[in-house]
Amino acid sequence: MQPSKLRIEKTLYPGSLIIPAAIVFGFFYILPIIMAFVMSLTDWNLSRFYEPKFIGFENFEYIFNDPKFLLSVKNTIVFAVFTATLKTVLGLVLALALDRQLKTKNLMRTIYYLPAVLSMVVVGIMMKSIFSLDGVFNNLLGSIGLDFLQKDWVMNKSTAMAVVIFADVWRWTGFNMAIFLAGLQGIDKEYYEAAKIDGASGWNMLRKITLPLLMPAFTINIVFNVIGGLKVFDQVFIITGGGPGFTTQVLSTYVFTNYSQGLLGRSTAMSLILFIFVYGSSSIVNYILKKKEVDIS
Amino acid sequence: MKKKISIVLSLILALSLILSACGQAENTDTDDSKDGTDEITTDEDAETPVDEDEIKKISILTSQGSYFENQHGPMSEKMKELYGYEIEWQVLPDDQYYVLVKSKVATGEVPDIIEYNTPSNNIELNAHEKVVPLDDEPWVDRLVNPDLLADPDDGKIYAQPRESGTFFGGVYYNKSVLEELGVSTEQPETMDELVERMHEVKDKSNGEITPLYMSNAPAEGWTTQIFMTLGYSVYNYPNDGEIYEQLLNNELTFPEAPGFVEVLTQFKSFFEEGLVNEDHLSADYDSAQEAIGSGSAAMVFHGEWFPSLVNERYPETELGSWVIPYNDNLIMGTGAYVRGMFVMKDGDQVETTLDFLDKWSQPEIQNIFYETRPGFSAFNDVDGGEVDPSVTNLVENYLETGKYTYQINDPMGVASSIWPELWKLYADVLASDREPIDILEEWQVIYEDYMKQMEQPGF
Repeated sequence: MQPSKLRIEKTLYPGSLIIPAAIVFGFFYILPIIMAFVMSLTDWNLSRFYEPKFIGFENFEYIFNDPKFLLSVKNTIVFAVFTATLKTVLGLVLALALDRQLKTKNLMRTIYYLPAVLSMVVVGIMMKSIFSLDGVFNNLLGSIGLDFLQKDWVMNKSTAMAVVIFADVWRWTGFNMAIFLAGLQGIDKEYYEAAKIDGASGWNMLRKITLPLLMPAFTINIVFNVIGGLKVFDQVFIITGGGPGFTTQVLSTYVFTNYSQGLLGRSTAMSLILFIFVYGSSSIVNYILKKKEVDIS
Repeated sequence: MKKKISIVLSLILALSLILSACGQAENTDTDDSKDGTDEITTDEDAETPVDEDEIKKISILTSQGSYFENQHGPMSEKMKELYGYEIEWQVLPDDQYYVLVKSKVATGEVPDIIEYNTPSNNIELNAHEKVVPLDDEPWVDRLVNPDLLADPDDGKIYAQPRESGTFFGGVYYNKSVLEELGVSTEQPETMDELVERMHEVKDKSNGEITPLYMSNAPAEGWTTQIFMTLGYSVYNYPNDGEIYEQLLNNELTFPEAPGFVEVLTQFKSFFEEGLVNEDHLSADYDSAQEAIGSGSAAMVFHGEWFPSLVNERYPETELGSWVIPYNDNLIMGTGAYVRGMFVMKDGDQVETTLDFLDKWSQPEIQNIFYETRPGFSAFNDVDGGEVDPSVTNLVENYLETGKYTYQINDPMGVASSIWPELWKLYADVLASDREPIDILEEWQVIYEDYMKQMEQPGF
């Protein structure tokens, strides 16, 4: 045996050690996905629980011709784009504001992070009472002479989605801030000192040092935000229930609706589409952002 | 030395904590049992309490809207005390009830008893195969209205009913609000007259009182549908049954069905004419009770359950009722169902459960329910209590005189799992610029697809 080959074999673990993990992963992740694909090709429903019939791609045909499904896709994209953008931008602004020597720095960080630890049910009830017809927001509008703007914000077709987006942004901006703060603290101060000596302005330091070196934090935040946005369920379910009518119906709530009707084959097909949608979008975003990261090693 | 003292003190502290905890547990048990006895021992001839060893457990699956803690709690205590049955109530959210019940039935993972509407939901429970027929049970002879329970296919009784009849649908109004405003409380003869009354409320109160309160929040779709589910039947009476038969056989579509567009258009006009509370799309059932009870709103479309809930919260409020005169028909829309307890064949202890049902039907248990929530008992030896006059009015003048017809949901029960989608479409009519015909066309697509999936004949 060659000495180099012997060394390699000694440093590697035996391949059989992967078997337990592979079994668990295969059983709990791969198998359900394969089963979901198989069941999505059947008319499986609660009335014929043990007798599903193979129907080919009929479920997918129905789904892509269903105006409500297409509306759900549109709403999901709108929600994901707006929340991902707002949470990232506001998270960054907060992180930059709190990454300095302030007496109240820790208190402020805690306050901004606090919504992330609240239950969504609590947040939902809070948002509903703030934006209801006799809620705090309308009272505020009234007190500053903007009575004509008062309305039922939660269940108005033109504002319902905005309320849901606001709730999500309010809840998760602090989390984005925490990731950015960690990123900011990892940037070597020497870069800034050197830039100052060279006469760089604050804006230029932000553009040329901070933002490029924060790219790993951007990647984490944006990928998390996109995945969370595309999978959104609880915010919509609790605050608007997908209404008024179908105005705020998103993919997850629509899957749930179909499941509630006992249409298991069809809802499985929808879940599969959602899975591909989330996996594809997050992979693309991750790929693009990874390429922009700066290697400082 | 200090270390030794601190060890000793710690041991004493730990010991005292353990002892006090044990003491508390004992006290708690004693208190519980005392409280329970105080609360539920109403009969002077109550039997000797059952030993803990003889306790038999019964599991009952029900939905939030059907479980009343103030009534079912004391009834359960009494069952335990008199007969040794300890009830485990499994209370599920209303909007998830259908799918969870269907899943349990399909997989055979069932509790001893499932509560559902009977006979309208017999098909959902696959009653012919999965449920124990109850025709030979001792309590059947005491039923007030056994005919209503007969399964449409084989005529058997598959559930023990909670009441003898339910869903006496109509307009329930706050009597003193109308009287103070000088608005007539006589039954409106036509739909125009009813609408005129609403306008009167609005005008005479200078917009201070909401004429018609509606709770159309997404989770409250069941209240949104009331106007339509009654309306399609009453509007077409006496031809409603024939129309539903045609819809079930795919010989007629919803957009073409006579009166459906008209009923929905009327529904929409209440909102367009400003007769409904502005926040109706986020208002819930609870706020409807508050609005009528407090007098900030005058009328609601509801069933007989509504007055009892208002009375619980606002005992001083007097309610009245009218039937809704769709197409100027003075007929009451009602339900061809009651809430029932189904004994599942896959349950672990069928014989024990049957015995439980017999005990549950006894007056000393059932009276507890009606003492605080008067209604129409399923059993002729149970005192239903004093029912609200608004309900009595509908029962005496319409139900007992045969001037009633059944809501669409009962003859078309096979589509019950997709009704919530239709209710969302109703809300969409109100939230958007869509016309009633568009809604019915969209519904037709959903309905046809579902009936095809369920392999219904004609689809």
